[in-house]
Amino acid sequence: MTIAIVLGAVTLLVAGFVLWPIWINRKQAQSVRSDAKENPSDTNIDSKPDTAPDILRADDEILRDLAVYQDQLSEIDRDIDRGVLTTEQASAARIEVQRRILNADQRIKEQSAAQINIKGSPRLRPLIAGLVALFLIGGVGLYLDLGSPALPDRPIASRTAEINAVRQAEAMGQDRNDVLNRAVSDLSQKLLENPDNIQGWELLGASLMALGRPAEAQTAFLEAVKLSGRDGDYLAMYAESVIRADNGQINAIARGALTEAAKTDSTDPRIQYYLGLGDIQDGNYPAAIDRWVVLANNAPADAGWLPMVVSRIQDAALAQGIDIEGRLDVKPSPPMMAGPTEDDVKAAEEMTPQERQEMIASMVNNLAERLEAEPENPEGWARLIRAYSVIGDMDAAQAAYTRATTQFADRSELVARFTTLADELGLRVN
Amino acid sequence: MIVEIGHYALILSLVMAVAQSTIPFVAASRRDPVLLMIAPRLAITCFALVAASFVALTYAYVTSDFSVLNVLANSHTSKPMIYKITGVWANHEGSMLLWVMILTLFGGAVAAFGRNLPPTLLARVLGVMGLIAAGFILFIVLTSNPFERVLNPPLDGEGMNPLLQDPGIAIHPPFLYLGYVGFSVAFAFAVAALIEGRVDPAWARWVRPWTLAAWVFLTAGIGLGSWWAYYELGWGGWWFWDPVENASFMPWLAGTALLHSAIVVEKRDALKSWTIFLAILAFSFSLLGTFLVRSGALTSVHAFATDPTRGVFILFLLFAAVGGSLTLYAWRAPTLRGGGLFQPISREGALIFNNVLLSIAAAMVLLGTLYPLLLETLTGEKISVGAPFFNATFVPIMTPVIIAMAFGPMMPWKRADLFAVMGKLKIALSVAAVVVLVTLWLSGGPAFALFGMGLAAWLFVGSILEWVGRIKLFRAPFATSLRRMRDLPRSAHGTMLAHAGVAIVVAGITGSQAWTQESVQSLGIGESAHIADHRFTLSDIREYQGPNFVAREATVTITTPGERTIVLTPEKRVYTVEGMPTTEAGIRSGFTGDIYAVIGDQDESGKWITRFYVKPMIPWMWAGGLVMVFGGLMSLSDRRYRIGAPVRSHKASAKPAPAE
Repeated sequence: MTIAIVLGAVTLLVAGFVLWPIWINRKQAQSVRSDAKENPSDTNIDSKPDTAPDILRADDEILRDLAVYQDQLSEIDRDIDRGVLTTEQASAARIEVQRRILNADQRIKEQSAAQINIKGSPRLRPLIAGLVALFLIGGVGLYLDLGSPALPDRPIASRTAEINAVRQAEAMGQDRNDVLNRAVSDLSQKLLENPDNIQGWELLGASLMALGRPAEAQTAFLEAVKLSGRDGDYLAMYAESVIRADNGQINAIARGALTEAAKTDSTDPRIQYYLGLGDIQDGNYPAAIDRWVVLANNAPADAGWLPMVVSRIQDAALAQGIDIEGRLDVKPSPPMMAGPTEDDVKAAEEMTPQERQEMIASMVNNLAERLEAEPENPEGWARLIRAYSVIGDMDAAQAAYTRATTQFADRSELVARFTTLADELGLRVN
Repeated sequence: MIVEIGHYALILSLVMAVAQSTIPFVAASRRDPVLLMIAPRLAITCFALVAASFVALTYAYVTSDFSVLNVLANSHTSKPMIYKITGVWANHEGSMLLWVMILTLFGGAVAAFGRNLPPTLLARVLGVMGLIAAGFILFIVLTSNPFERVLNPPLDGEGMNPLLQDPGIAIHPPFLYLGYVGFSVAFAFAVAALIEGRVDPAWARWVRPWTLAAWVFLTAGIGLGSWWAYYELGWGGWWFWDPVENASFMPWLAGTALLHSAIVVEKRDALKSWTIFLAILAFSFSLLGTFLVRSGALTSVHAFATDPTRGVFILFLLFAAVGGSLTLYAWRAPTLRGGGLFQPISREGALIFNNVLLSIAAAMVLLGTLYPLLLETLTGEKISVGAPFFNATFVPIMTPVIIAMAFGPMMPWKRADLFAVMGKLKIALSVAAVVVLVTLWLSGGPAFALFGMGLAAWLFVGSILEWVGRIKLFRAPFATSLRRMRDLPRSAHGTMLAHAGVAIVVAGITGSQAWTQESVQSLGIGESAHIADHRFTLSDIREYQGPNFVAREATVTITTPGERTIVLTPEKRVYTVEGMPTTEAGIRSGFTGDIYAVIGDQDESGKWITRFYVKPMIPWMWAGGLVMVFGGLMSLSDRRYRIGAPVRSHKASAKPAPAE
């Protein structure tokens, strides 16, 4: 909105500045005309009054030319003084300059006599003003076509939060990748020696998936499938790797594996989830919703994937206008710190950097308050420590870390986790 | 929001330029006083808008706003602030915006200072400049828009060519553009004069300061460019007859010729048609240069853009501007009436001689630049026309120009006595002879060096003599001379300085070409090499981390024949973001010449490859260039050429002219 006002103001300013002479002249002409009406004795009443300043006077032109020639005459004097011209040459030169002056005078007189009648065309002026306005409208149109008026500036100084998040993610990703890469090479070595180890193949596949190498994971999971006598859980893992390798497409191989797994007694949620996704890719929304509703209704209430499935059901229902009222008998407990909704993200995009900072701070505060009320939540504490360090409040992060380790002092594995995290974030570790 | 305001300002400037290229012509042909008043307002608004968009782009660079594609592609947060700013024009889009900003700056300046021009001439001049601006702004908006945005900007940019991260090259483009684009004013005056059908001494007087300003900037820009090549490219060369260099040199030659022929129009009312032609030519060369550099027809440091649509667009603009103006010239030039008559031996004659030779020189450079391109286009054969061709053609053409340069200012208008002038120059001739003998005694040759030094001495003394004659030094009491010196028009000082500057440049070129000694060798730490009686010792090598590069710095200790010790620290840098190496030569400049050291890589035996040069007189070249620039500025400050010179007696007392 501000930008529309600013651009509008710029446009008006430009138009005003450029067309000022026409405007001012019009007003003067009107006042002259009204004066004339009050004085009916004025004989010139029918002639068009034009009060435009007379900038085309012939006198001025003669003066301008004279100055040049005057200068040439004085230069002749200087040349005599220098001795490059004899007196005789100098007088010839003077006569020449004088002849030029006469010529210029003659020319200008002729010109002004010839042009006295075609001087000015006041009717053209509003036309030109209209033309300028038309050009300006064209400019606005071109800008709306090429520009992005809604896009705010994004100077780097306003993007610290983004930079910190990326840096942290990079650092964590690096550590994690190191561990995973080591696991992959260790496992591969072991599996060479002992290829019948099903868990080995499973771990290798999972590590490769985590490293984003689904095509390689596919072969590892396939080994596990074969060794386990086509166990449903392994079939599900295998199908997932196939799907990931095919950019999320439920292709024929994946579908075959999933259908086979569905016939086993495996309760792996991925089976029904991906089969439903396959239905959606086929355009069969009701079938997908049926599958997912069953999946959701049979799920344990604290299943991490449940909210995701519920939201997919709701999305699919909304997209196709299918009524699912009463079919879902799950109330997924809201996660400790809900991820920002689409509206939040949209709102955040329109915020100034300062507002954005405030929003993040208030989300962190909410989390802190909730943990104060229900402190038995290791996940929440870890998130809080990290959140403080992202917004740069290292003292608060340190305090949260100390508080968390005291809270769970009797659970060494949790203390170890907090300590690793604190170390990663550069906090003091006790 | 600032970025978007900049984008909008750019598009509005296009609108203003379109208006500026139409309305003033209507106004001038109808002689409507109100519409004539709109023309300068359009030009000033157009400049203000382009400047605003330039400021907005600079703001985006300074704040590292990577949501602007242009910033993303050409900047980086770790770059020092100065290169964030100069990065604005170190890329295709930004440099075109700078080009247009300078074009509209000249348009705005003509509008602001042009109140003493006949209003119809002013309107037509602005109209022509509006046409050029409209063409180029359209080019920017449609093919090279610097305000394109990115929806999800990454957190850092892609960096900038490290060769351009240098203070010398950072200010070289603005100067060069001020020069290139400055000729657009002379061009616009020429086209407007053709439309009006009138060229007279007053016209020449209006054109002269603009041409002179463009010439000063172009001289400075070329000088800076060659200085940069000398110390940054690290092979001790300063001029390569590279097509891009030629592209700046051709307008310089044509502009120099224009500057001199405009004097003839002003003083003698002659050479009108030729002067108009030169004005068209000088700007056409500028456009050709822009085309060669911007279209990607040439690949070099300067070719940021290799996009065929851009090339075709500029080629179209080039044909429209050059073709249109030359057609108009062919149609209207015959109606221009010539003025004063003169003898071949006269000031006019000397200036024509200078003009003809400068034009031939420009034509040779044009041929040498375009011939390989044409040949490649037509037959696919790649040839390179290099220094040998240019040296073989350029030197013989310029030699007579330099000989005549000493004569010219001494000759009176209309007819001169060659023997009388020779008499005045006998001191110059004797000094030149002495210089040749001293050179022979000191260095023993080569022949071209003797000739070059003699030529330089001849021109230098000749230029000074003319000035000495004017102020009657040694012929009148000293106080009189001093008074005469003060009273002399500044343009007379300017002539002397510019001509003497050329002499110094000639001496610098000759000396460095004739007596440079170089050697390339592998040195371990503590080892030495001998070049031209200088001992170069590689004392130390260290590595350090710069703001956005890592560098290897060598310490080279030099003992001169006079047992003086000089320490140079040449570097080799690798810019981390761009992954590009650059060479930072170690240079010590002195009156007699430069000592120049470059550090390279390590060879297999662990020694360092080093290159050392002793380059006598080379700084003279740039010093001479500076003297030329200073002469130009001196001449520009001449009160007679200061804008608004002819004072209107009846108004001056009430309202002083803005330029005073």
